[in-house]
Amino acid sequence: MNYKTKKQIAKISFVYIPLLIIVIIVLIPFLWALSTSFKTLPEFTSETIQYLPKKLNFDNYIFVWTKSGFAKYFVNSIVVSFSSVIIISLLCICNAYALSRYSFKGKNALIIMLLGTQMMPVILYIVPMFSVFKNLSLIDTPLALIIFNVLLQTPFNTLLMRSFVNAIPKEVDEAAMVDGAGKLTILIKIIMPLLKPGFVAVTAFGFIGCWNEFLVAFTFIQTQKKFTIPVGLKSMIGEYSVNYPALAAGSVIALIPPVILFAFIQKYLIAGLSSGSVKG
Amino acid sequence: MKLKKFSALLLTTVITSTALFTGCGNTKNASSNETQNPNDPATVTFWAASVTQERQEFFDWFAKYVHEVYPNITLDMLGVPGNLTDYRQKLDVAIQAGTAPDITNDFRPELVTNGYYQNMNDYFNNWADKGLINEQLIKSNKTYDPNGTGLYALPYSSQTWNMWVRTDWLNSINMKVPTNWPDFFTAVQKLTDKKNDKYGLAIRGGGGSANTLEMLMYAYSGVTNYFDANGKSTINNAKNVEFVQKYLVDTYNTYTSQDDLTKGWAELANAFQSGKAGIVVHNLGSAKSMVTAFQGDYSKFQAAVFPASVQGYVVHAGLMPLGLSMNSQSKNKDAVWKVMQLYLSKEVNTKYCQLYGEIPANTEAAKDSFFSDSPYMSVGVKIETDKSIKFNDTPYYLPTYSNIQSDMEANIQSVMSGKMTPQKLLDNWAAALEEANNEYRSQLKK
Repeated sequence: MNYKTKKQIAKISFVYIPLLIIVIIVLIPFLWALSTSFKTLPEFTSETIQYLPKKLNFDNYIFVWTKSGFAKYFVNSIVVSFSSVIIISLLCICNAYALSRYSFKGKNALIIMLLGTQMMPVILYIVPMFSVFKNLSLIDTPLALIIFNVLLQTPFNTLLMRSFVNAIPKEVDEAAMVDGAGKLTILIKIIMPLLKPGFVAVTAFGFIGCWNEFLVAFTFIQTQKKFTIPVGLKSMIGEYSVNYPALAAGSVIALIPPVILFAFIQKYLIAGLSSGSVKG
Repeated sequence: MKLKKFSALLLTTVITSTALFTGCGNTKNASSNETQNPNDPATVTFWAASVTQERQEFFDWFAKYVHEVYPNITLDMLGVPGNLTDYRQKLDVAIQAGTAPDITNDFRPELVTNGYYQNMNDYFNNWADKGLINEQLIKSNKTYDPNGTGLYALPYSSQTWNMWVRTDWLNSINMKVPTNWPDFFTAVQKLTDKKNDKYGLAIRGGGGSANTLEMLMYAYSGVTNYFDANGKSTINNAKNVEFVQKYLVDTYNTYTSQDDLTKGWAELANAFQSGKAGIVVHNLGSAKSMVTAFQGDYSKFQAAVFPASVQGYVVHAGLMPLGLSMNSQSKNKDAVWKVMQLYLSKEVNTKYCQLYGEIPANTEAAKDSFFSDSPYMSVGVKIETDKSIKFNDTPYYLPTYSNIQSDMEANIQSVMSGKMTPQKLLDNWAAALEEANNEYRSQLKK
């Protein structure tokens, strides 16, 4: 066995096979959910395990989309998540630029505070924020969810974005200043285009956080037609029974926007995450 | 110039979206109504717990029905999905912020003492149809009042617990549904076929385990009182310990699946319905899912009363108080009461109980043939009406009763995994119950 063959065998044994195992472990629950979503309830509860449905049965999708109100929940989730992500991204760019480029009193304390907010469980904010939002007449409105999402997601994403801004040399700002550009012009025209990978990373994290958010949506929304997808999925889980095929169909529907988003931003995301991780 | 345009556009977008998003919602104070005049338009808010799509259809129908009967009343119905813990968390936040609904259907003793519920004695006593409501259930609901007199929830049904057994499996080993505990354990043993991953029993070791274990051990021992005359708990009596030893130690993982350790009801139901377990214990609320799973083939399964205790008689857990409660801060209590009355009417009560697998509180509704003729509902009716079946005095009224059960769940798993003895478990349980009872009694004296 020559050196090249040995190297190939080692690569297959220590890289490809472990990676394949990880991929299988990651994919099995998804494929299982996909398969379950096409099964009928008797097929699902059958005494012999059926890995694949006997035929492609779309009844569960039709049920969750039409009868269970997923059409409404889907739109609500899209509106809340996209609105939140736009605000989060804008805020993160401004915050990150300030934290990266300016020196001011209490900067380190502010960074620690931002980190500190991530250590506290969301449930702690719920009651006080509920009272505040009630006084602002925001309970049972999508705006309440958007504001809460922005509050929850901005600190972490600010710190993430800061590492991307740090990676842009200050000389770029200075060169623009020499050409007569103001701070806002530098931020919008010079920094923002260079922050594309950071923007993608923040968008991805922000979107997933907002899309999957359950607790706040469940607590703050008091009208069924305003529920979001994670709350709607709960209605498949009854007091005494779980409609697993419908739950699986709902979960697959809920997966579609994040999957599409990631398909589009994948190349930026990988570049963004790696550049953010090594330059800070 | 471009920058200014951008800033102006951004500002306009923010203001417009704010207006749009806040405009989308009517920020309602859940229990708010400005009117007290009975003929003025009124909106009544009602949050129902653990609502699935099927249940939501019932509540949507009921909201329409309310409007038909009382054109000036609009029922703003919210079916809260998820389990009771989720519902309670949502309601508790709303209570603290003063946006709780007018009507709720999860009756809790702690909400009696904190003043959230309205005492409905006056409304009930002046109601022409009060005679139609099952007296036992009224009595049971009044136990949540520390004075034992206030009616804080209008009972709409009762729910009995039972065994679900695979009749076809029992037939295959020439056994009948066990009517005593020795037969029960023999059947569990004989039904087990480990090689084929089939077990005689599925034990609830996950969420809700304490509740099931508690009613089964009393069903075994035949003890009907939770506390003796000196306030000592009976939960650690010798026969209860004997049962826990047989059930959790000798049977678990020998005649049950090992993963019973973490099974909640959904997993237990799956084990039973997919042919992995021959017997499970639950209430009639799961009947619909059983019928669906077995496609209505009653030769495969049946509901059954608990086996007779070692004393010779059958003991079931006391009927848990449940009902519709009125928010004491509600601005239009008369309209709320009208909605409640309608909920208890024969038509609505029958429809509700058929859906939920419960026995109607309206005695006229309970006469419906569905309840006496249905293979499973008739078991519930038998449990409630058979004079030979005894109920124990389950202390649902203790404000921390369900917390104690939750606390015991980890200990139950310790017993199942051999890290704690049944005696130790029940001694801990008894101590917790005694403390809660003493606390409750001392509050009564104040």
